Amino acid sequence: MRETSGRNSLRRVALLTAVIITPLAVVIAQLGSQAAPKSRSTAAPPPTQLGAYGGGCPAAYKPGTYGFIGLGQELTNNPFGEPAGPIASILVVRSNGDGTLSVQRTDFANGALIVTPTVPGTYSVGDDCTVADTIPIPGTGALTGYGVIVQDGAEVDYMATTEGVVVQNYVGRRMPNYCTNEVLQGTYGITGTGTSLSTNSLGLPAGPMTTIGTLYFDGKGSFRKENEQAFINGSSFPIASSTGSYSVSADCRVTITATTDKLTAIGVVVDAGNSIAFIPTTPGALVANVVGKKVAEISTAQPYASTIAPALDCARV
Amino acid sequence: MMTRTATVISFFVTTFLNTTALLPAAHGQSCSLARAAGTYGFSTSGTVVGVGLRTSVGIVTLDAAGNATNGKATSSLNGTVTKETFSGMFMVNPDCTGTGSFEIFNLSGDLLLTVTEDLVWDDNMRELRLIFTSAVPPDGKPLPIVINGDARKMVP
Repeated sequence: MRETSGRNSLRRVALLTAVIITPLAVVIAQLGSQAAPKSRSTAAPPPTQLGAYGGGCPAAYKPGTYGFIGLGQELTNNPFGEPAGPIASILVVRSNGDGTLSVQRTDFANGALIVTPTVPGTYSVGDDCTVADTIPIPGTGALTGYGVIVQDGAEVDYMATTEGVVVQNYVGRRMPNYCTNEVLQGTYGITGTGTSLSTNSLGLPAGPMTTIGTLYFDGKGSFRKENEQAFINGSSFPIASSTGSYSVSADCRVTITATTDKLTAIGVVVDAGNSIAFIPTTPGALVANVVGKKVAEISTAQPYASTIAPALDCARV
Repeated sequence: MMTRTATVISFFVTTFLNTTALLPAAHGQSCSLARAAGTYGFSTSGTVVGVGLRTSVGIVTLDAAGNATNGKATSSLNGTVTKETFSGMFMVNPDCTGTGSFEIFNLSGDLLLTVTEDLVWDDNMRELRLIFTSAVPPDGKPLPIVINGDARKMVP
């Protein structure tokens, strides 16, 4: 693992933060709209501005956290000195409820883990529920992102729009307010997309990759991955089952460590524990996004469900 | 005897028809233009072969007549960011597959691309998965592309 704390890292974090913050803020803001009185729709829409929301996509600020997963390509001409190549990311975006947000980003860039510090950002929401953010970076200008809120605020789709830095899409979904290992319990169907690196130590060839399989969590810290099939560079490869341990922190971040092979991964719990988004972090191996969805969904009335119902009022979009 | 036979046949025919009528309800409604209608947020990602990665995020409204309107998106092609508008037509099969054809313009109104897509709706038509099947610029020379995406209704 490589810890970055320099200026370049800050810039990068800010960019990523921008990407995540905007959608998160929008979603959070709109979550609050669910509890708003019906008379809201008859009120004159407020102007769209940084830190506010669009009139056609009204929202009130509520604190909350979203987990984002991103996949793309770091460009060779990026101004931050980051390594070029495939990049997968996990972002945790926290709205403070007052129009400001904070973002913590972890990248797996071309086979290296990069953990960046939390940075703040601002955002605006259009009447059509699109969002745009700007993250000021001292001495270098600003980083930007663009996104759209869907599913009544349950999800935000986002992309980086700062030119020449990174080509990356992100999908963010709401995280539970509190987690333990018990939040992951049962079988999840997993699908993954990314790149198998030439330096990988898992015995897989290099090239573009997709995978599908199942991941079982026992709710007590043990997992079992099986039935996995990879399709790499046009050929199919069965992946051996693996077992090991997992840990879910109180803020719903997940770490996975296999004992039967070299697999490690980090991720986030979203959708009240019905979904998990993670990225493999085995050094030099795979740069990929993996999303797991529970085979049988649990009720959102479970203790791990968000206390803020995900809903947006985009009816006038 | 003939009356009894006719009654039995009538019973089975009626039962079959009733059962058939219930099948759509038991297996969920079939897909249709009307059920596809709504405003979607979408994202796509992939590669324009020989040029670089392309991603996009945007919104589009599909109506019950098969029109795609008010499309707007921001795309990044190898790090060059462009704002676009688009419109077109789409169709839906009862099995929830479909196709679409769209014209993409820059903000000056100049045609950038004509694209076709294969489509699949899932999640009770709240989600749309897509893959680009062609992308042709105004010069008529198709671009080699590998791009897919997802769209979700903004208000399911």
